[in-house]
Amino acid sequence: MRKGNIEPKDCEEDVAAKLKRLQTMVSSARELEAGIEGLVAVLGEQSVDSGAYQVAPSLAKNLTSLREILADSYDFHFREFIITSINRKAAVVFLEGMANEVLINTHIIERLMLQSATGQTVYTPQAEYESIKDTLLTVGALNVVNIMEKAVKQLLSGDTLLLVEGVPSIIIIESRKMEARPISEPETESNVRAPRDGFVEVLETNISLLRRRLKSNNLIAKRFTLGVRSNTNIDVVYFRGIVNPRLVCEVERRLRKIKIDLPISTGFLEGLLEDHPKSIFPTMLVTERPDKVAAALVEGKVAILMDGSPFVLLAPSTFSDFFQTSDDYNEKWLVTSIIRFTRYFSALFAMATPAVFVAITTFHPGLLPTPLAITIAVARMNTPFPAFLEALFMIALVEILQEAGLRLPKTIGPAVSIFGGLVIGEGIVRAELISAPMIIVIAFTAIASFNIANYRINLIVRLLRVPLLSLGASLGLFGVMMGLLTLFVHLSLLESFGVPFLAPVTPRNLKYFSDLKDTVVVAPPSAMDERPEYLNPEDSQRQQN
Amino acid sequence: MRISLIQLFIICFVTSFGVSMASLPAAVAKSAHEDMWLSVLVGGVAFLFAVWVVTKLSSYFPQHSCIEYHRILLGPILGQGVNILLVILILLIPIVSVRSFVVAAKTYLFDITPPQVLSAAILILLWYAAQYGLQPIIRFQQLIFFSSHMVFFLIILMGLMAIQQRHYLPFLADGVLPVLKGAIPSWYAYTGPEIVIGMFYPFITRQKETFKWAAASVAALIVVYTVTTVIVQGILGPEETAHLLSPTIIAFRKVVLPDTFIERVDGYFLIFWIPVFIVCMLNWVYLAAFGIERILRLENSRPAVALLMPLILYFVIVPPDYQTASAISEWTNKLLIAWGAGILPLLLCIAWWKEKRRGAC
Amino acid sequence: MLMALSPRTVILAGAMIALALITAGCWDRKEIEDRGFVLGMAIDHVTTAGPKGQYDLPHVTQEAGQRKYLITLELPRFRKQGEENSATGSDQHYIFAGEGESLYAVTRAIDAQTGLTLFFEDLQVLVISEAVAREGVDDLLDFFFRNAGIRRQVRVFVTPGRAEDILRTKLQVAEVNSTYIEKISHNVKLVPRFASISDLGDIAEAIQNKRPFFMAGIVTENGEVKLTGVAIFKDGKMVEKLDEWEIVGAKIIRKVLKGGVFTVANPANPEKIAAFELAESRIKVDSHIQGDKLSFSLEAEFVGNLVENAEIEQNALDPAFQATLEQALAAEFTRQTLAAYRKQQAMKAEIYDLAGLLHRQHPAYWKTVKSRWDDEVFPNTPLDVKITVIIRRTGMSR
Repeated sequence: MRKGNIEPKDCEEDVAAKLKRLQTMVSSARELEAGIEGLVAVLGEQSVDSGAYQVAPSLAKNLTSLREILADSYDFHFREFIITSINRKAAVVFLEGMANEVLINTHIIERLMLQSATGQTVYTPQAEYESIKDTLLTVGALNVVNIMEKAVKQLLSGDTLLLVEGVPSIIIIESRKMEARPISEPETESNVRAPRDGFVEVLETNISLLRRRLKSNNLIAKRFTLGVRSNTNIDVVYFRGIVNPRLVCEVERRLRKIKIDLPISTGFLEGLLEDHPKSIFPTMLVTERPDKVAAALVEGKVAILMDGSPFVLLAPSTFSDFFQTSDDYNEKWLVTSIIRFTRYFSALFAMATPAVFVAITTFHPGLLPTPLAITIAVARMNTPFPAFLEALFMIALVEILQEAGLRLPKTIGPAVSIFGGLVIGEGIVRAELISAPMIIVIAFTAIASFNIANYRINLIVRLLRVPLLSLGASLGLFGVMMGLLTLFVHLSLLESFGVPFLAPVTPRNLKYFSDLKDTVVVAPPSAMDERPEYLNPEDSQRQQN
Repeated sequence: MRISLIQLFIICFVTSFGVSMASLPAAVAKSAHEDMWLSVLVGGVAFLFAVWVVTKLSSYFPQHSCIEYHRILLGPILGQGVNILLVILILLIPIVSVRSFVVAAKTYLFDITPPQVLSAAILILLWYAAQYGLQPIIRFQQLIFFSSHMVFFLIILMGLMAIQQRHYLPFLADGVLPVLKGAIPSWYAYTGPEIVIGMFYPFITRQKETFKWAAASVAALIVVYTVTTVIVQGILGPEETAHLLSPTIIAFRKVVLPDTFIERVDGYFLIFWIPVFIVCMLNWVYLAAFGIERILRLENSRPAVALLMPLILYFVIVPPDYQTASAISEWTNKLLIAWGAGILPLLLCIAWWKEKRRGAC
Repeated sequence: MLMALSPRTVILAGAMIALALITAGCWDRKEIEDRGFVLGMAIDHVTTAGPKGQYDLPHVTQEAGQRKYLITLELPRFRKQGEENSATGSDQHYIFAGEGESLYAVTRAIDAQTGLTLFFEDLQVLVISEAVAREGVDDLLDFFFRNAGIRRQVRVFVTPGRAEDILRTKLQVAEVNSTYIEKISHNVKLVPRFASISDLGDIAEAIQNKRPFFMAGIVTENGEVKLTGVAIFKDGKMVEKLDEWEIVGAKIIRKVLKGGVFTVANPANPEKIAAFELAESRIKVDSHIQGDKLSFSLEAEFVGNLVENAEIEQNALDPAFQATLEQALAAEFTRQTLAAYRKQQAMKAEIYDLAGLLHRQHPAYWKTVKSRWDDEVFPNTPLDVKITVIIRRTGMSR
C-alpha cells in the first residue's frame, strides 16, 4: 500500500479487522470469565458431608479424606509416626483444644513409638491391629469404627483418631479435655440452706451431679442428638419404675419431631417442646439446681439436659412448682409453710395492687374508712394527673429501673440506685407530680414482686400489671375481678404434657387430695410419703426401691 | 372426660349458688315473715325429691345424657321438643340472672356505666372460658370454690355481728301454711343439680353413689342458704326484708368491721360475689351449649357457645324495665318447678313402666 | 364461623375494644380529690321566704314544690401540709346551702355550684330542726332510704333551734363538726341521761312497721355541742320530748341501761349524797295475759359499786347502810321507770318495742289489738316494776 493517500476501501477493511479482533477478544474474555467462575465454584466452600467418604486401608487416603472433610481447619492436627513393634505407619488425628494432649503424648504416641519389636510372631494385619489395642494402648476407653461419619463425629467431640496403614478401621480413643466453668453456686436461684452446687455447661458433668445424688441403676439417661448443624447432645433422664411410661414416650416423641439448626439454649428448646407456645405462662420448669432435679426425678418427672446450657428442663410442671424453692425443705415445715403462703399472696399483690388502689379510689371511695379517704384525697389534692396515669408512669419507671439494674455493668449499678432514689423520692414528691400514696402503693408492689421465687413468674406478674390496671381504671373493682378471673380461666386451660397445669391445686378426687400437701403449704417430711398423684406414677409409695 | 364425685359435688353446688342469692330473702319474706329461714329449709328438702327423681331416671340410661333419653322415652318428635324446651329453660336462667346482677352492680358499684358494657364484659369472659370443653371448666370451678366460695361464706358469717334476736320470734305464729308458701320461690335458688345430673350422668365415674353426693351438695346448699336468710332476717327484720329489692346487700351494708383497711363489709361482699356469680353462669351457659351440641349431634360445643353469646346479650338488654325482668324471672321459677316437680317424675314413671314391661317380656 | 377468623384479626379487634374502653370508657371514674365528702347535713325551714342577696344564690329551681326547706351541707376542708394549722373551727369545713323542697334537687343544685361531686356515703350526721320535725319527717327521709349511696348508719338528731347552727358553729376543737358529733355519740354509753342515738336504719324499720320512734336531741351554745333529751315521733311527726330524768326510765324499759352514775340522798344524812355506779344490769320485760287483760312486768337487777359517800362518818361497809342505800336506789329507779312509762302512755306513743314483745310472746293476741295499740290498748296497760339493786364494792376506803 502506498502511503499517503489512504483509500476508503482500505480504511474500511482496517476497521473491520480491528472490530473483528475486538469481538473475538470480548468473547474469549467472556469465556475466560465463565471458566474462572466454574473453577471458583468448584474450588468454593460447600458443605461437605462426611458420610460420603469411606475408610480406606491406605493411611494417606484416609488422611486426605479427613483433611477434605475438615477443610484443613487451624485446630485440626495430625501426627504421623511409625508403630515400631509392628513396623507400620500410623497417624494420630485430633482437634487442638478439645483433646487431652498429655494423654495423646504419653499413652498413645509414646506407647506406640517406644515399644520395640517384641519378637512375637504375628501373622495377619488384623491380628497386629488387635495386638495394638490389647497390649500397647494404655488408655481407658476406646472403640473401633469403620464408618467415616461416626469417626468424624467423635473427632469433633474431642476424641482422638488413630489411623493405621493397611487396616480399613479407625480406633477412636476417648481423650476429651475441655475448659469449662467449675461447679459454682447457681446464680439465678439463691438459697440460704440448700446445697450450693449448680449445673455447668458440660453435659457429662451435669449427669455426674445427678448420679452422685441418685446412685441407682434405675436412673436412665437416654441420649438424643438435636440440631442439624450442631449435633448437640441432649439427655433425657428419668427414673425407671417410678415415671409413667407414657410421659417418657411423649417427651421423646416431641424431641424427635424437632428440626432445627442449632438449639441455642434450653429456653429455645422449651419453646419447641411445650404444649402452649402462645401462652405467657411457662409449662416446663427450668432450673439450675441439681437437688431440685433429683427431687423431681424421684417424684416421677422427666428431666431434659442439654450440652452447652446449665439450665435443665423438667416436664411436666404445674402451677405450684413455680412457687417452690429448695429452702422450703431445709427449714421447719411450719415456718416455710407461712413463707410459701406469702409467696402466693405476693404474686397476687404484685399484680393487682395498683389496679385495686386505682379502682377503689376512683370508683368506690365509699369502701374506705372516712379518715383514710380524706387523707388520700388531701395527699392527691394538687397533683395534676389522674390516678391511672400516675400509676402507669410509676410502673414504667420501676420497670425501666429494674431492667437497667440487670443489664448495666456492675460499676454503674450504685449510680442507678442513687439516681432512682433521688428522682423518685425527692424530686417527684416534692414537685407534687405524683401523690405520696401512689408511690407507696407502687413501692409495695415492687417489693412484693421481689418475693416471688421464680424469675419467670416475676416477669409474667410484671407484665400483667398494666392490663389489670387498665381494667381497674375503666371498670373499677368489677374490671379487676374480671381480669383476675380471665387469668384463672387461662390457668385452668393450660396443660403440661397431659397433666393439667392446676393439677395439684384442684385434685380430681379424694385419692388426689394428698397432692395438696406440697402446694400451698409444706407438709412435714414424715407426712410426705406419697408421690404426687397427678403424675400417675407407676409406684405411688415412696421409700421403695 | 370423667367427672369424679367430688367434682360432681362442686358442680352441683356452684351451679345453684349465685343464681338468686341477693333476692332470695325478699321473695321468701313476703309470705313467711318470721319463719322465712324455715321456708328456705323446707324448700331445700323438697328439692331433694327432684334430685332423687332425676338420679333414678338417669340410672335407667347410664350411657345417655338426658337429651338422648328424652328422645328414647318420649319418641323422637316429642322428645326433641322437650329437649328444645329444656335448652330454652336453661338459657332463661343466665339471661335473668345476668340482668339482675348487672342491675345490682350498677346500683351499688357504678353509676353511669351502661349496663350493656357490663353484660358484654361478663359474656366475653364466659365465652372464653366455655371454649375448651368441660375439663377446664371443672378445674376452674374447683379453684374458685376453694378460694372465693369459702371466703364468701366467711363474709356472710361476719353478718352474725349485726343480728338482733328480736327479729326471729314469734315462731310459727301463723302456722305451717305460710312456710310452705314461702318455700315455692326458694326453689329457684336451689335449681341446678337436677339439670346437671341429667346432662352429665354418663360421665360420672361411680354412678351408683351419685345420689349420695348430689344430696350432700344440696344439703350444703340448704345450710348456706338458711344461714344467709337467718342473718339477713336478723339484721333487717322480716318486714324490711320483704320491702327491699336486694335485701342481702343492704343487710351487709350494716355490718362494719371497725378500724380495718376496708371496714365496710359490703365491699368485700360485692367483690367476692363476682367470681361466685361468674362461675355459676359459666355452668349454665355450658349446660345450654352442651344441650345444643347433643341435640344437633355436633362434634364439640364450640360453635354452640359462639352462637349463644350474642343471643344471651340481646335478651339481657331487651327488657325495658325492672317489672318486665322480674316477671320473666317469676315465670322462669314456675317453669323450673314444673320441670323438677312435674315433668321429671312423669318421665321417671314412664321409664319405670317401660322397664317393668321389658323385664316382663 | 368465628373460629375461621385469623388470630391476627381477633387480636386487632381486641386491641381496639381495649383502647376504646380505656379512652372513652371509665364512665364512672372520678378522682378521689374531686369528690366532695359530705359529712353532715342539716334540714331547716326556710326562715324568710323570698330571694336572698342580689342574685338569690340559694334558690333551687324546681318544677313542682315550694321553697320550703333549707338544706345545709358540711364538707371537710382539705388543707395541704405546710399550711398553717389553725386551731379554730371555721377553717375546718365548707358549708354549702340550698333552698327548695326536693332534697335530691337541692343536692344536685349544690353539686353544680361547687367543683366537687357530692358524695354521701360517708355521711355521719343528719340534724333536723324541731320545727321541721313537728311537721313530719317521713316524707323527707324517703330521700335517704331510696338513695343507694347513703348508708344506714347515719346518726339522726333533732335540735330545738336552727339545725344549720349545729353545723356552722365554730367549735373549740379543730375538727369538722359532724365528725366531732359522731365521736361524742360514742360516749353515750357512759352517761345514761343522754338519749340513745338512733340511726337511719332504726328509723327506717320503725317507719316501715308504722311504729313510733325517737331521735336524740342536740344543742349548741358558745362553741360547744351537747346531747340532750330525746324527741318522740308518732306517725312521723314529733310530738313530745322526754327530759333527762325520764330517759333513764325509758332506757330501763328498753333494756339498754348498761352503765352510769346515779346519786341519791345519803340514808345516813339526807343532806348529803351518795353516788352509785352501775356495772351490770339484768332486765327482763314480759307480757302477761290474764283472761282478756294485758299487763307488762319488768324485773331488773342492777349490780354496781358505791363510788361516793359524802357522809364520811358513816361506815360504808355497814350492811344496814348498804341495804337502805340499795332500797333507796331501787325506789329511785322505779320512780324513773314509771314516770317514763306514764309519760309515754299520755303521749299515746310507745317506743319501747313492747308491741314487738307482745307480738313475739303472744302473737295471736297481738293480732287482735294491733290496730288499736298506740291509741287505746297501750295507754291502759299497767306496768309492774320490781327492781333490786346490789352494791358490790365500796372502793378503797371504808
